[in-house]
Amino acid sequence: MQTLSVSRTVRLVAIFLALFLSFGVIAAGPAQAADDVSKSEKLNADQLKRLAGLPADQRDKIRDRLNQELGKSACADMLFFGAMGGSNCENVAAKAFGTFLTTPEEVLDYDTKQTVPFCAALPGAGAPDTATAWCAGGAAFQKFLPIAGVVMRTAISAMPGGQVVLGTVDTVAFIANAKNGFEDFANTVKAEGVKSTNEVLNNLLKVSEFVVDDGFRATWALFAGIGVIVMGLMYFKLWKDVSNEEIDMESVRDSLFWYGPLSVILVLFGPPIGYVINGWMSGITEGITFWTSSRVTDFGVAISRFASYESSGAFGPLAAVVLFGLLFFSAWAMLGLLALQPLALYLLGLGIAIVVGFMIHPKYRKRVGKIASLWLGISLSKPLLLLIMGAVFSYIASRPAFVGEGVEDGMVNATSVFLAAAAMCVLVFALPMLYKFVPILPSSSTSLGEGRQSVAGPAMVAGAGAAISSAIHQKRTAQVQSGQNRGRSLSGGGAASMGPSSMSTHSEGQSGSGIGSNGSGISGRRSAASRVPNEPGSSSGQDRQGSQSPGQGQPETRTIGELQKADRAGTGGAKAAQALKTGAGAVGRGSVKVAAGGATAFLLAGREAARQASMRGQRSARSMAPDTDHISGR
Amino acid sequence: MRKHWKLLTALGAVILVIAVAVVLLNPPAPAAKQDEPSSLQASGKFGFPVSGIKIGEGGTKTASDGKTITGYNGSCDSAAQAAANYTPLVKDVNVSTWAQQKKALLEVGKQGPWVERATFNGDLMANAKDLPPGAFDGGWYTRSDVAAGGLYRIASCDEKKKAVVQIFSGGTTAVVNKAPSAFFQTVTLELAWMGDWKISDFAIVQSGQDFNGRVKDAGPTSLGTTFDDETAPALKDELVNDFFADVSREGWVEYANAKR
Repeated sequence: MQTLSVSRTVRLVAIFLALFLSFGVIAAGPAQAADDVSKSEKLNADQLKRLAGLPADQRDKIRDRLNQELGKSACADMLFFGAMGGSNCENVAAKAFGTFLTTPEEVLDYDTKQTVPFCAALPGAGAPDTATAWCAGGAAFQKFLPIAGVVMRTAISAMPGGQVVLGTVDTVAFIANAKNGFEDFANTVKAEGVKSTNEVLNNLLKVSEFVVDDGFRATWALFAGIGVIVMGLMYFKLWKDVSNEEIDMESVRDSLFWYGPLSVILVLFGPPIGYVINGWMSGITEGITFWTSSRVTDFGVAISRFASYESSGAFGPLAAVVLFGLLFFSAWAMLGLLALQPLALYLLGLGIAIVVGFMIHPKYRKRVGKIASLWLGISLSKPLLLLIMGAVFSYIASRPAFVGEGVEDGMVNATSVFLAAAAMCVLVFALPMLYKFVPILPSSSTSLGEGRQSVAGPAMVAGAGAAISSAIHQKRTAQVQSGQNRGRSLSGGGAASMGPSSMSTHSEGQSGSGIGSNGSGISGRRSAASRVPNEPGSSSGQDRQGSQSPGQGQPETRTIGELQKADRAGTGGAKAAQALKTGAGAVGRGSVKVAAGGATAFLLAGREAARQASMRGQRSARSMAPDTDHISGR
Repeated sequence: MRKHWKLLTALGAVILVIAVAVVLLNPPAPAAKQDEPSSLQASGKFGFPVSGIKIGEGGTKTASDGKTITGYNGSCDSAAQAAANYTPLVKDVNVSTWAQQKKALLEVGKQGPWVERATFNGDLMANAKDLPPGAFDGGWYTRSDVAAGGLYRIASCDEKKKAVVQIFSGGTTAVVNKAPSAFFQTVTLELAWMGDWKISDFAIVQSGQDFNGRVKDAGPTSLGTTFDDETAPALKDELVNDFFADVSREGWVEYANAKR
């Protein structure tokens, strides 16, 4: 219960932080946009995407309207106006433009210096001969402006769908002639809810992106410096642990010759590697964005319909405050989630810089992997969120209340507001829920879903991770066995020489637990080992158990007297090792049995069994150890 | 070999990582700077060479309108001066002085189909009825200001024979129902030597056309640029960059008395 309340607090804090930060992000946007509205302002990339996503008839109307503007601009030239002979100038000119500017994008992109196609189109549009002569005669516009800035905004916003393109919404009052404060409040909540949802939708796809730039590199350098100091401390810790015989020379060799240089390389080239990976992710995101943006446009059309909702029947002020309030909240939360992603990537990246030194110590190595995989997971979360977003929004936009002219029923409209708000809420919590129910990452690294029973999780992990983990386990097992063999062949069963081999069992079990979940433990390795198909001399589970027993079985078959003798001959450390090894042996026996049976079962079952066996094994190891002490008579 | 696979793999990985890092950490050198000074002396404010000739000089006589200078010596420099001095004749449209201007234009021009083009606007405005308000300063529809543009390009020149000159001129134009507005435009003139430089062809070349192969491009224009001023403003770097965005800067020369 303690952990539950803690994680709930953490979640609340995270949500508040997300909201808080997103306010800053959004406030900066419009402030900047206000300066951009100038005479030469063009549609930005998002607006163009939304324009491309409009229905064909709305696009045609916008195109015609813009051509009309071009005609107006052309006819502002007094000489051309004179040549056109009067008041129908604008319409004829617009018609002429329409013959070669067939999409709104073409109209907006039209370079007003390119007057030749216009002149060629004039006769067909019914312009008088004087106009044709004016054009052909080498006369030219002295003043002719492209469609941009305020003119463009006014023209587009007057057309259906235009407000969606521009990202502006005019809301009508929910309750006309509000009589009291609460009805006023309902009006405000509705206006704010629709407006901010619209604004958020327009900004969703352009919230800041994580970039590995010079600033990040400089900060990384600083943190990596600390990381190198940490690495130095880790070396001390490594040698201390070796001298205390807590880890064996095998892992030390790995640490010194493999992970040591690797971590230095990572310190040096972390930013480039991050840059490359981030580039891939941006590519993925970019690829998904276009698909999503057209879905967001559909949804934006739906949201802009909310603007015209008015109070009717049960859909009164209270319902409006609650539903539009929910809409408001979820819109901001969604934006906050997207805005937090780059921050998380930035901080985690620096975190990696600090802990990269941990890689040289076998006990702490898995922490680096956890942070790194969390970093990868978060950078993957954006494309994932965009995908889900597209799916959810296209569902919403196809609801009856949003198709065609909509419905007049107040309740249907109310539920549609709720549906939209709920959909965005789902999106906000979709990723955390994914982490909970599909813990691709070690559950402890997200703090969400930690210590909970999860049904889908083990299945997913077993399915996706089985291949990798079994490969790793196989390698580990091979190392352990080679270590044991060498230990035996060197000393011929001497008690002191038991140390390294039993130690290796212990430490490998520890580091192996980092792969699947926290629970796999020693027996996880054992069961995986028993699943290794190409192990020499094994064709079935039972055979494998048999083939392993000469190596593992030896300590278990010894009598108490033998144990005592070995005990007395050995050092204290060796004694402890002895006890552990005995325990491990028992664990191995139990888990091998379980796993041998489960080898033919699903990987899911295998993993569950391994976890169970591991817990049992740990219990038995704990219970065995005091027994040995007791027997030794101290 | 089997024994050292780890070492070899590690070595390979290190080499690979270093190779990748070297590639990543050395972004391609920024593109070489474009704005290299041409072989001509680029001494103007906007990087154009400045010649010694001035607008409003070069001739010995004046035409019947009392201000258009004629009587040139036939050199290519004088062709550039003649083109600048003739430009108001083909550009200006003022209904009150149109008849006089047309007469002067025919004096400095050789008959040809170009005359109709050069007089089209003036005739149109002079004869038009019910024009909307927009004319300024008493009958003006277009008033050129060659010195505000102040640039010329000699597309081709054969002394005392023939020359094709482009003039970049500023000016003010009438706007329907509104206050007039500034503009910049390139006028292309073909001059023939008939004891004096005479206009033998004229056009305001439209973008993408080349005056039947006689000029490189249409030359700069302010189409698409909004001016707050009513008269052609002093040029600024961003304006010049805008005007020359899709036409060549090569060959353009500043008059000594261009407004800068």
